[in-house]
Amino acid sequence: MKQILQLSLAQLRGFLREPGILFWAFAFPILMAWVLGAAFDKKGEGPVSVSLVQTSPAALRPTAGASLKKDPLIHLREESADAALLALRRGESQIIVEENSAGVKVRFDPANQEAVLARYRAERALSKNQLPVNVEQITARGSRYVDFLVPGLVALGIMNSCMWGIGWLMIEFRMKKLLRAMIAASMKRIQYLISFFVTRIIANTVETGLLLLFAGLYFGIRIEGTLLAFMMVIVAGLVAFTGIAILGACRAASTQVGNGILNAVTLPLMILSGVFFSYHNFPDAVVPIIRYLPLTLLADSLRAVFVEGAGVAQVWLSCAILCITGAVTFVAGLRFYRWY
Amino acid sequence: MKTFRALRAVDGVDLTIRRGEYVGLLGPNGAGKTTLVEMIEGIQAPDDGEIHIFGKSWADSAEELRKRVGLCLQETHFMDKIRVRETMKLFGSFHDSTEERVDEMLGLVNLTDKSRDFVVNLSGGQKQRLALGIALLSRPEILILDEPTTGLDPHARREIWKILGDIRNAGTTLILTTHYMEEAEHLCERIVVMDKGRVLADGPKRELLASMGGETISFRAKKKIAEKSLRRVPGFLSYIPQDGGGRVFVSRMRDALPVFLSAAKSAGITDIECRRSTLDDVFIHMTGRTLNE
Repeated sequence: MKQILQLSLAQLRGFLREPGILFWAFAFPILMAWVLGAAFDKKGEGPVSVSLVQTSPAALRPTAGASLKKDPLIHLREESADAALLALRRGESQIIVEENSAGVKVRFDPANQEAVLARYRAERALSKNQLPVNVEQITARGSRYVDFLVPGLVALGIMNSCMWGIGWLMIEFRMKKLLRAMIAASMKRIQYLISFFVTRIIANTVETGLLLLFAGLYFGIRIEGTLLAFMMVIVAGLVAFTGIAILGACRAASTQVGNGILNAVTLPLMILSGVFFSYHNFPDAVVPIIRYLPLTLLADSLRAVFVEGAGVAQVWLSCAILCITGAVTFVAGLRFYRWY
Repeated sequence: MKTFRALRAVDGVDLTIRRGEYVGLLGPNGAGKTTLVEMIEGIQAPDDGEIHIFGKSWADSAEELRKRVGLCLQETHFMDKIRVRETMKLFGSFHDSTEERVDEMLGLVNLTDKSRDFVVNLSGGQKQRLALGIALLSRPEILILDEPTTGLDPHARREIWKILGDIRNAGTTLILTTHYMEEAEHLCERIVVMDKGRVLADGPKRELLASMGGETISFRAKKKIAEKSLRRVPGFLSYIPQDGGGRVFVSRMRDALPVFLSAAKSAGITDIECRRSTLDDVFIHMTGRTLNE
């Protein structure tokens, strides 16, 4: 008993005496719970976004719009057919309700859980006015959930590849005193940093290539936009996250602290940036901020290239912001880098 | 010429090391040896004082000095799943070493047979030899070794010593920190004894030993012996009582021993060793503590 007590005490003391661990162990989970809770606590009852497309003359319109509006849990967007399709592809709305003189048609992707929920909501609202409803499953390339998901996964892969492939390795080299030995052996610091970027370009080309090959063969996903725009976005993403990884890893010399820092960057971005679900679920006030987070910029630009057929003209601004983010964080990381 | 002067963990050290010298910084843990060599390596800057190597300072000539100073740390963990030769080549790339040089160094540190092994599969001694080979790749004029054999078994330690003996002819200057007395004695013609950040003694081994007379009676006894009763021992120099015994430093054992035995009779001596003084005796004479405390 005495031994267990003393051993446990020693472990607890070691734990409590490391301020970095304290933050990551106690404060960080609370912060995450708060952010996630704010985003998803009313998920089941939260409003769903429905795009309403009206194709018949106004005088002949049935009352689909009015019925849907009555449901406080339906956020209705009245828009053109093209705009509705784009909103669906971007995850801004979950289903499309098309209304014409013949009746109402609900279009949704059965693979998307949010869309299934939205469909039932819409059908319930419409049935109150006894409107005849047809249901059409969206299986056209570009509008399915998987079309939304794959570009998000490519973006997530770039982020994780940089943050762990660069950040973790840098911390490990420092911790093992390997960095110190390399500096003592006249290694050029700038070449050291560049080597990480080069490694990531190579590793990520393979990672992304394999994912796209699978997505292409299995789901028939293709890049609708130009290849140049696609490559630009990938490189900009790598630049951004290389810089962020270097800044994140610039001081840490223990795995616990390093793990915490890297998780603190990657987890919130993964949750906020709409990799798996649209970030339009978050409160309207924060959406404009989320839109400019690096992972969001990367995922949105990739979706534009994959699904919307975007070219260089549509993505250059996002790419520029990503590159600037990378440059600023790189310079800051270099400024504070602990070489010994 | 290299001159060091610094304060705090290293307090008021003033040393000049000549080209080609093998210098051992000997002292217990916490003596300030590592801090001192880190300042020599340019990893830490002294709070006060200056360090000049080849008449240059780290602040002005870091790049040049890096090329001329080789470093082997107490423990370097290389990348686990990188092979021995690949590791050597990686470090070689920092100063354009040729393939031949890499092979030459693998041979020197006796790792040619292991060149295709992953670093993770090497023994402690082999890893340390790899680190030594890497430090020597660039033909450094000064080689700094920070406790290169700490934690190694005696055989592995001797292998490292042999390599360091082999490179002596190349004119390399060696600065070695250690708390192994035998290591400093075996490798270095000049020994700097440090404790609590200060230099206690500095000179060739024989001078250090001669400075305190040369012979030691180390004993264990049931009772304490008062220094007063030992003063009549011929050639008595000093007495350091220790738990359950002590060490008496004398100038000539032949004259001292019979008188010591009679003086210590009542204390009930259980064990006695008479020897030429070692560096450990020198250290205990100066500080009252042993090197390994």
